[in-house]
Amino acid sequence: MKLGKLSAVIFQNVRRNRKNFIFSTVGITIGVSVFSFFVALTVGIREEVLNRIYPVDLIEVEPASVSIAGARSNVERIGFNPEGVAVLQGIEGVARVYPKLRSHFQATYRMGGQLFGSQGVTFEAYFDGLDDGLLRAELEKSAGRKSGKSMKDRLKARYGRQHRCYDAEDCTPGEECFEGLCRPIEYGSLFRDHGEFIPCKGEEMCADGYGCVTGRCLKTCGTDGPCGPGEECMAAGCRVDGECGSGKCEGGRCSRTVCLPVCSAGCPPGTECIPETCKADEDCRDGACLDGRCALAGTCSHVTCVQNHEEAELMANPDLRRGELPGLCEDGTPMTPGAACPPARCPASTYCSVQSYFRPGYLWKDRRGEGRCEEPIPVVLNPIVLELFNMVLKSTLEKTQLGTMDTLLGYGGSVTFGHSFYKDTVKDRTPVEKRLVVVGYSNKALEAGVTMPMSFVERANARYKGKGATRQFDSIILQLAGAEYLPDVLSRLEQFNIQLSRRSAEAEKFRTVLLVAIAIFFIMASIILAIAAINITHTFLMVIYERKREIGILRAIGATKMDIRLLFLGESLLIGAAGGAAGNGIAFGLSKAADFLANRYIGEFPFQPDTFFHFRPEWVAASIAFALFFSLLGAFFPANRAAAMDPARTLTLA
Amino acid sequence: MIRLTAIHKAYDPQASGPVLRDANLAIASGEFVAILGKSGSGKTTLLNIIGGLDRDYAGTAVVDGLELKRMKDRDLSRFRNRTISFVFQTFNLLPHLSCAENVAYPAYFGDVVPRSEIGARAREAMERVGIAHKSQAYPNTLSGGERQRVAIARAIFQRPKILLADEPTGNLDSASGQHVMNLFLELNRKDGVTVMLVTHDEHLAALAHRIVRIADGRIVGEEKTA
Ligand SMILES: Nc1ncnc2c1ncn2[C@@H]1O[C@H](COP(=O)(O)OP(=O)(O)O)[C@@H](O)[C@H]1O
Ligand SMILES: [Mg+2]
Repeated sequence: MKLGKLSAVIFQNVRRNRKNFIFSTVGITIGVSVFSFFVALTVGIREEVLNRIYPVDLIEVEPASVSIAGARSNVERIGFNPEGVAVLQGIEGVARVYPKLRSHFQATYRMGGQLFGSQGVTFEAYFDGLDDGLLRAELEKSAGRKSGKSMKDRLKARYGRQHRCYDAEDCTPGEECFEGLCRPIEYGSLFRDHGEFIPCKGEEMCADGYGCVTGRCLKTCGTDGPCGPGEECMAAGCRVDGECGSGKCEGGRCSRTVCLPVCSAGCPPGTECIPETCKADEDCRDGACLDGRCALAGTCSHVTCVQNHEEAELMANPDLRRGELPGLCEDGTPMTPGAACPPARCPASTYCSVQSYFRPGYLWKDRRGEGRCEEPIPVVLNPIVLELFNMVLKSTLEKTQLGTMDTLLGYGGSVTFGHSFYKDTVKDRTPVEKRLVVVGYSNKALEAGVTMPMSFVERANARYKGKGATRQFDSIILQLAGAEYLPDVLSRLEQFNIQLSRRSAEAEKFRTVLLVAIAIFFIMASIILAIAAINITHTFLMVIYERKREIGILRAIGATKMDIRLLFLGESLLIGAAGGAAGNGIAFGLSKAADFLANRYIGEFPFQPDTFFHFRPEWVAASIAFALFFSLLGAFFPANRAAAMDPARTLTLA
Repeated sequence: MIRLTAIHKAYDPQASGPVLRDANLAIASGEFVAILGKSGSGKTTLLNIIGGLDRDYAGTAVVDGLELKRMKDRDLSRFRNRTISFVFQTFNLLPHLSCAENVAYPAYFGDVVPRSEIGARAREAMERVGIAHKSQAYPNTLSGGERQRVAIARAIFQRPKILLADEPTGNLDSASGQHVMNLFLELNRKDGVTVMLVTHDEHLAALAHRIVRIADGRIVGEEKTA
């Protein structure tokens, strides 16, 4: 019997006996709807909630606590250092490895402006550091993906023509001056260590590989490796040994060579080239004037500035943060006593970072003082922060919510190193306030704080907790090449003396719970479908009894046993398909209703998704395959019985 | 065309005796044979064996050169589909199908008639038996005679070589019975279809070429009619 003819006969049979058909379909429909509904719910929770809180393709590992490492014998020891990173990078399925360094000292944030109001809000600061090069690559990639247009296209779309500029001041806010043209700030590219000025009083305050030279921590070079781009390895000028950290001052030069940014590479914003000749030390900024020549001539140095405004004024007028450059008019001419002129200020993208306060005891009210022009420390936020912000803002501050993460880009705040609401462990260190600017977001960033360039955190840790504070990474994030590598990578990690971070361990636990949930729904649905199958068997046996004679007639006019079998199996497939479709339809309807009720009656909470349900094509297909399988199963026995019926006998029976 | 040799058949050997005993019968192509016998004598059983519906017997039945017992279900079904056709006393039409659909139904279980020709062939068969005007009607709206004509149309739809008619007039009044009988005679004469007709009616049997009498499972006599 040909398929076309077969299906024609099957449809005739279904049409003839709609009641039986619907009755048989009900059970399948219920089973499939239960299965599809709950699988969509679990998948939805996993994708919409869990994966946003705990991204699937990220694993964070920490050094194992002693007990764990001691309990197992065949562990491979790896250090939380570059060598260990290399080992982890070698695991198959690990696309990239991001070592993390936490802040080891106390600090507080102070946030104001558009988000927290003119009064500002202060809270304990947590932050960590990620390699800026690695993260910048990710940030730039995500920025490019977002717009999909080239920079030129975007510029054109925005202005129609391009705007010439000299520096950021010539451009509108949110733009920077790049090669004489204003362009929207590429925030992602700002995630780099700007070499913020961190003064030191001794070697102990500088990180490994740094020396306290000319009153600040500078990267040592030569034996300690090469310098970064735009830097050169040179011997700083000095007068006494103390200026050279652990090195000696020999013949006006420090014996230890350090990396210094050189003017020939172009000085970064907030810095200026130290001139060759001088009359007094003041002419040379950093480093002394020795025999009419500046010791650090030809290198870039942070411009000295002074902040004369109190906190309240700064909150009200953020532009005042740029401070004033003492003795200099805005047009670059020296101030002359008596003739008033608008003072010069720190460059547009920088602020006056106060290093020593006039009245140290009144930090939050009065932070007038002398400092250096610096770029704000770029920070990256975890999307979770936005969620939490939204919740807090909406409920407690009654502010409007932030739409997307992008609205936070360029947002600034302050962090005060060495100040805490808790017991102050940072002794003998003057608190220092730095500005922060949000330049991007990444799910690798700290969830309850901000993430800064790692080299900066390293230096800050040393500055406040001493050299030893930064010997090793605190944790390592593994970015997987894909979620499918997760099980393999996890089992591979068991061989090392490391453990999952609390978060990653939690994520694993949740994933297991969801997997178990799916398994339970699978079993539940199987039971319902099995009952439906038994119901189909029942109905079919009844139908076959009713159609006994008809089966005999079909056989008499040439139907084979297989034809008879296929007629019933085909009908059961239709039942399965109809039940599968109806079940998924009902599950979909229920999911919409559930979402509606959830939106209406459950209060808002972080990571609240638009929908709790994800109907994945593969699961929908699986549910229909289930329905077909159980319908076939139910019809199998009756169909065989029908095929085996003796046609002569069924025809002679009255 | 049909050759039965030493057919033995017992439905339930323990309970009752054999239904057919040592039945031997040969029917030539184009013959019209009437099977005459009392109720329960084994006539239907004989037809079922010849028609390949019953394979549980001793002896050999060769129809159209095929040894039925040795055939696979698939081939036997094909044989029923294209070589032979049944006409039953109780018509055995499918109530959920229209007359035209009933007539064309065998086409669904074989490949003799291509799908595109099914309609035309069904109409032709129904015109042949004079029931074309009822093609859209359903069987339960027809009289017995009309139903049997639809059943005959179905039987000739595939243009079989052999017609096996089991008391086709048993449920009909004599006029309708005569009409149906005439159809069989015409099919036999014009189309050369071999007909085996079971009846208790001596008058109808007399119209056949040959009468085979069966009693208590035995073929008790054969006679040529004039
Ligand atoms: N399916 C069956 N099972 C058991 N006995 C049967 C069956 N069909 C027929 N018989 C018996 O076989 C005998 C012959 O029946 P049948 O061939 O139908 O006779 P007829 O058609 O001549 O009336 C009868 O005695 C009948 O009771
Ligand atoms: Mg009979």
